[in-house]
Amino acid sequence: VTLTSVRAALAGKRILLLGGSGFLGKVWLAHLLETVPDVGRVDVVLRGARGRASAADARRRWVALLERSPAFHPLHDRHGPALGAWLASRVRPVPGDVARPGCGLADGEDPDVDLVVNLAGVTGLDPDPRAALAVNADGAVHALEVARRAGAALLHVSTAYVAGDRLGRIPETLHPDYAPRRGERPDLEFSARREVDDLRRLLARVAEDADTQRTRDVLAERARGRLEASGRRDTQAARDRFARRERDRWLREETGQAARERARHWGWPNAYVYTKSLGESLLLERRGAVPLAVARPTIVESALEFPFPGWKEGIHTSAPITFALTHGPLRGLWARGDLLLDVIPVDVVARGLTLVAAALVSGRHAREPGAYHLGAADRNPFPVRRVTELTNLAHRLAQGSGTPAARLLRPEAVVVGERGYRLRSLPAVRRLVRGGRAALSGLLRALPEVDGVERRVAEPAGPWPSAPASWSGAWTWSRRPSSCSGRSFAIRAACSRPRRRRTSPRV
Amino acid sequence: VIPSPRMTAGLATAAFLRVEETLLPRHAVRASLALATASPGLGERWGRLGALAAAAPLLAGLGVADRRLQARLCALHLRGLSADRVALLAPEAFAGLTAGDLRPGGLEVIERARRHGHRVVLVTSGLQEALAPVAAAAGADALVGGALELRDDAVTGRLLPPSLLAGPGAVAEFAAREGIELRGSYAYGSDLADLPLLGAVGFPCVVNPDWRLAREARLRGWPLLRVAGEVSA
Repeated sequence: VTLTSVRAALAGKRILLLGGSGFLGKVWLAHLLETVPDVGRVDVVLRGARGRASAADARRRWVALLERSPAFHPLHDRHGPALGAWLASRVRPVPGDVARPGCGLADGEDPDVDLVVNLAGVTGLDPDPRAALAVNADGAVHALEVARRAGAALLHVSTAYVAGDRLGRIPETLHPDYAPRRGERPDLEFSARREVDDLRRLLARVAEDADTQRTRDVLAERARGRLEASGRRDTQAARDRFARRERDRWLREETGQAARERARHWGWPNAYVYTKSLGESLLLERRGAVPLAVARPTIVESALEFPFPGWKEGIHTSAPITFALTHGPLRGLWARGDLLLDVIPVDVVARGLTLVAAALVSGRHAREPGAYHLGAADRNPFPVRRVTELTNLAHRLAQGSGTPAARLLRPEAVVVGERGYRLRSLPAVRRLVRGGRAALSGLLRALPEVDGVERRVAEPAGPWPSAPASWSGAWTWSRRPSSCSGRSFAIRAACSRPRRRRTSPRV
Repeated sequence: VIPSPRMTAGLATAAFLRVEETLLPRHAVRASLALATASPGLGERWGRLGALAAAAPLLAGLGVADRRLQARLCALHLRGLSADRVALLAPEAFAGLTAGDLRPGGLEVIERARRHGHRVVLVTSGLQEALAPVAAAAGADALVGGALELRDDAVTGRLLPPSLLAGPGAVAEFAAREGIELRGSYAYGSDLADLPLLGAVGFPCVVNPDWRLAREARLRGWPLLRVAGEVSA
């Protein structure tokens, strides 16, 4: 075994980084600069605001990233006020856009780099398929074109979930024209290039449909309803704005639905992994002599150490689940408790990517492009039951143990099966509340005295109904109703109060 | 074992104190109650508490007749709890406990041991995690406690004894590992499980013993100490 020094392999190397403004991109860049300070130069490709892509825009965006993102805190701590000068010789913001041919780099300007790292991706389980196709599939091809022109190697970052809905052991090899359903039907005809073309045509058809007379009329009707509900002034400009938003929303839903259906047909669970897998297949088909490595991380999560323990940007991946598990009265997680959630800290992924980059630039990677999987479940399995348990415990320790009564009544998340979930879910509770309201209404109708009080609510200016004299004290507005009937009345009143949108501040 | 920096220095003498009776009254129910109250999910929580309440008369009787069986029965009520939950929430059983809540007689023994330069090692048949606040409040150098048996990261309901009380060889092994000279050391035990420990040291003493240990102490001529005082926390 010959050891390769990562620092020596990357020293003096010039790198073009695509997707450097994302969560993983920022951490990888900062981690690379921290651990391999001798790196030659990193060109960070950045889009300007609203699609503008001038050098000034890219520089502005880079400065904003550097100043605001906690990912760069360790570099600030190490270099202090000299950081700007230190970075000036190592990092260069470059205007561009991975979704455009040639990554949107300036015409005629071939990048002078040794390695192209493509971390760009439209993530999320239900992304806009138009953007996902442009970045995850077309973007991979654009990155390959740039690497070919520059005579550089390409490190493409994908996801471990391109494997799709398959069970059992799946080898860590890349297959051209891969589709998960080929696992069950090897004779299945599937071409990634054709699939990309088909998907593009499908999305274009949906977009055309958005402009048909009938759809426009339906959307205009919806826009009018939303404008009215918003309480804003009904002007032509407002109508146009709401109509545009309604069209965008409709397009997003319809294209999303179409892409999901296609993805599921071939065995991928969502449009994100579907487009990522198509991108991989296109790379394999067109790579030619370009040295290529594909890194496939699992679920990229909070940092273990770098930039500091626990750091995460935004509410992504498992954060919404953990938030939902610690808030509200319903905390049943419908899952199989023994399923493994393969999460991996972002800085561990960054370290892995640096290793792959070093292997790639020093020619030590596998000649036949293989996939470098970056996951944790093999060594550190994290079953869903333990995810729920640690979430509960973290929340409890953060909140404190509380009073003895609070300890007894504190709700905690539990893993439940389908039946348990149906019993605890919001629709079930809604049904229960509706049933309770119906029963209560029936009960109230059966009590003539309470009916009298309801009439008074409906007609506040009218005379007080002829209630028994002994009740008069209990039914004043200034006193909390004390009798059982009084409570029923209060509940009924609360349930039947119409929902109104407040349009002016409460005085 | 919670090691102290001082424990690693040279060969030393030690005073081994059994937490139960010397510093605290029996507390097996207290730790189980705290962990049952900290169970996940309202159904499971109330189920465990209900089972403990139903077993309360039996547990009270065993507190007098057979303390080891009482501890085992208490541990049985924790079956199915996760290892994470036990490790993180067991200290809540004695959270907020201070030296003022410990038996003055036991604290005096500790103080005297310190004056004579002995290391102070607390031994408990209860959960080590639960008793950590007691060791901190007493200013002990080390705490050797029991543990709940785990399978697939969940409690099986079996209480494993502390390593020091596992048998005659365990005391010698512990002393060799920690650099303790047993002939010059003291031990304060309170039930028959402490017999190997008491027999291994040069100066054994029994504190509020159960009737079995009291009989052994009389036969062997070991001194008997009575300490009183209830935990107020």
